[in-house]
Amino acid sequence: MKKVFVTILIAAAAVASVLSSCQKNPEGEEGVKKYNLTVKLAVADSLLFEDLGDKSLTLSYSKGADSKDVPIDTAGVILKLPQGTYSLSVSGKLSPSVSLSGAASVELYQDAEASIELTQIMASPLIFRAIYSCCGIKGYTRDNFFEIVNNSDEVQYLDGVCLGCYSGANYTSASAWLPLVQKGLYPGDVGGAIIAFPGSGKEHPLEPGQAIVLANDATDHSTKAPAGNNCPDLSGADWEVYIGSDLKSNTKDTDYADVPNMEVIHFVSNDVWCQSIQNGGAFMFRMPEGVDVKKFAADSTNLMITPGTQAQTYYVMIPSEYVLDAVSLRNTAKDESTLFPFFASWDEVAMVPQATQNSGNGVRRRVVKVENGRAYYQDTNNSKKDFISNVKIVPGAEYTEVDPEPEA
Amino acid sequence: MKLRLTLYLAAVLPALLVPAGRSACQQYYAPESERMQNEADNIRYGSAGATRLAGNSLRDWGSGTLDYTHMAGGFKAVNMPDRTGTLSVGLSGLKNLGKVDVAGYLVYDNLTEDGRNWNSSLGLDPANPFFTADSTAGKSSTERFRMAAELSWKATSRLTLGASVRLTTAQLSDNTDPRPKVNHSRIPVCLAADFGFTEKWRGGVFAGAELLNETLGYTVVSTGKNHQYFVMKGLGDYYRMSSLTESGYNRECLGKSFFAGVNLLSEGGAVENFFEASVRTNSENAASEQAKWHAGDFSALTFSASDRLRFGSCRVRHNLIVNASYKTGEGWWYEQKKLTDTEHGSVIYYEILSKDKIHRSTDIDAGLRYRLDAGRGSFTSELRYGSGSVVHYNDSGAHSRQIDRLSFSAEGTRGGMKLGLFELRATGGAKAVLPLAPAAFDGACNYTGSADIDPVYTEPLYNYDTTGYWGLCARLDASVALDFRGTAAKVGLFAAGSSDFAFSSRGSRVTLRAGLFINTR
Repeated sequence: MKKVFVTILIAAAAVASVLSSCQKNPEGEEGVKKYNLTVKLAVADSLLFEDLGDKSLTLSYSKGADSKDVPIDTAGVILKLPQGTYSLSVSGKLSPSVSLSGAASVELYQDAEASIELTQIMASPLIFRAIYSCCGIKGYTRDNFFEIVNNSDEVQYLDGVCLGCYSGANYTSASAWLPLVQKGLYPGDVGGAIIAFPGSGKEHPLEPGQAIVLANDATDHSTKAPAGNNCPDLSGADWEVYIGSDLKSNTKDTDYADVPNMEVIHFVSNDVWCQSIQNGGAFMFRMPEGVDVKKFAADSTNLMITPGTQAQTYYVMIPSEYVLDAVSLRNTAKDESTLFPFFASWDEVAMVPQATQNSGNGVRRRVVKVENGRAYYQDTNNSKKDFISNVKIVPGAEYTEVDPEPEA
Repeated sequence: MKLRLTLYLAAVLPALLVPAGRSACQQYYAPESERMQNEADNIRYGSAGATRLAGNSLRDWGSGTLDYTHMAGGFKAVNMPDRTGTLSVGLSGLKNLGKVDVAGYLVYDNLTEDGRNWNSSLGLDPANPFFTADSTAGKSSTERFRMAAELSWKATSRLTLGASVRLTTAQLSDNTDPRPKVNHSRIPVCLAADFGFTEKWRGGVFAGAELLNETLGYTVVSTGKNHQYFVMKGLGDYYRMSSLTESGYNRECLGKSFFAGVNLLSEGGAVENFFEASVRTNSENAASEQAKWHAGDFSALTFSASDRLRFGSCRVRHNLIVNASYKTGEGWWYEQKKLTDTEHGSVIYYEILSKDKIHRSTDIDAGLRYRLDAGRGSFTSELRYGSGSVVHYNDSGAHSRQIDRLSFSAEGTRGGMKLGLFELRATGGAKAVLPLAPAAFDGACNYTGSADIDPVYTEPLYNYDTTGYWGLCARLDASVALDFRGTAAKVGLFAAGSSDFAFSSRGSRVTLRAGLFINTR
């Protein structure tokens, strides 16, 4: 009996050892693996590598919701990071009016190298100062507005400056437009229309530091919207967008006669311009000398339907070379790493989070300097860093204080 | 032989060891007197192999119960509902057919849970860190069927063979967005054999397997609001997913377990002893149903052993029961890339970039129990030690958590009391659970800002697990003896209540249960 029992015990131990061997980790050690990522800079255009010299450049790397910054120079930098897919961007200034920008992404599942090509970005004198487009109360979508500022030291003219917009689009999956966007070709009126400041050339000056308010509807929305709203008073807006019945037969838009209207260059849909409650992008562009924007928009070679579809809606395609400023607002409910950009990396490196829906808040550009009472705004083509998100914006307000540096 | 309209089902027994002498206040569906008698008389009561049925002193038994249980109270874990109502209907029985003993049960439960959130699973391994949850508290309803059939056959004078099969199926649904619907099924099968070496010594083996299938599907009716799904990875770490990216997230978890054990019985003398040891492996792998996005693989290995020493006379018997288990668990997470197979109808699939062991757990449980059986009464006291440690890895490094607890309980039952026509049985008990030097713990959430769930999930859960509490329980059964055409039966009512009181927060939780039963021999 004892022998049989001992035999049974030995058999059980053998079974246990076989079963426990099944538990061994085939991968070896436990934990999230880390690998070396070597990031090097490359140059494009006529930028000489030596010009970078001692310029202060910042490498931003992000994975999922996490983002960190480290300094980087011409020698590059080696980072030891947890495995994953990283978005990399480099930003800095070559001179007060010339920014440097570059971006890349890398899948880090072994030691890897990433090369980021830097591009010179001439700072645009005209930039978006603020964007409010998330609505002040649910169901009321007419109260969006945009502020445009002259960030240079010379008088600029709004005549012929055009605006395009993405809005309401879901860019969490590979958008059909993405290949074109990555090459710097943007559908200008996904947000409803391409609009432009009228004028023959010098009819609408903007002094250095001066800003204008462009409203969808130039009225006091706080009294027009249902009770309990957070809508702004836009009755003092400088410009508004009017979509009349000649463009949309059942339009609900109202022409507030006291406020001059933008020209509608090419109309696609919607009597609310650039409604982007959760995500969207707006950009300013100017046609080259001698090119008429209306003729450009009427030329079928400049029009496209959504790639891969049989849709009958045509959009005007705007080349990146015409772009003055581009700002996109990202959907905060989605993982940032899954979002695809509205603009090529040299026009915008990263998106700013959209403000909270129906909060009455918007995004505004960071004030980096105040001189003689005039504010200068940050413009590194990185909306994520250039803008402050989810803040109350008083249309047309004067800013007299420098905004604090964001937390790391 | 007259046919009896009784289902030949057995008293409840889990697939693994169940400590003998489990509190009567906590018994769920087994008939009280059958358990008391067989638990006292059959030293093998609680063994995993069905051959134990041959050792029952009460071998013909039938029982039907109908009861309702209500549980409520503020002293609860964050992933427990605020209130639970359970209606149960059960039939169970034992039947001896000469050399064959059969047993089985069939139980239907209908649960309603108010304020259930942070847990959209029904029956995964408690150590499995990979489950899906949402933070929206809703009112869920669960229907569950549990059934079992066991057979013991005395093939020869020395050899007894046994077989058992159980089935548990359950379905949970919740009508608050996001709406989880969970389907769960678990089937353990066990074969056993024991051999009498001598009249005194008997040795046995058992082995079995268990299959698990649990599916989860979320649907969102009001799509205007974005809902967050938490694909948990351990210690509050999770993978972000929302109804905007996956409006109807579906997930399937497939599991399989294998177990085997040996036991040794010494009976017939002044001192009797039953020893049993077993080992069990368990694996549970989750993936989204359509695109096979891997949502974590878990595996565990458990070693268990118990020993019951019994001595005394038929009038007064003493039992010393020792049991212990040691369980290790491991979790693997996949890094995956979403791709589209454009050559086969644009099917979405996932390429695995890396597979990493990110979770390790160790659970130790040991107990020493004393049980006294004397006539129509019994007394049990138990000292128990439990230890659970977890190490979890994410991008921010290793995170660990350690929980150690000591518990003490005592319970007494007295039956056979008369009150007019009624026969009464009363049970009362008390317990205390004490955490041992809990350390501060930071959750492993990999996100910051509004996405950090440590303050609302991980920390409250840890605080509950490390809170000491004490409790009382009581139960009263009143039955009347009847005679159905020569078949003795008892019909009765019972009422039970228990309450746990936290030492620190003074929160409490109350469980009340009442029902009807009918027992026949």
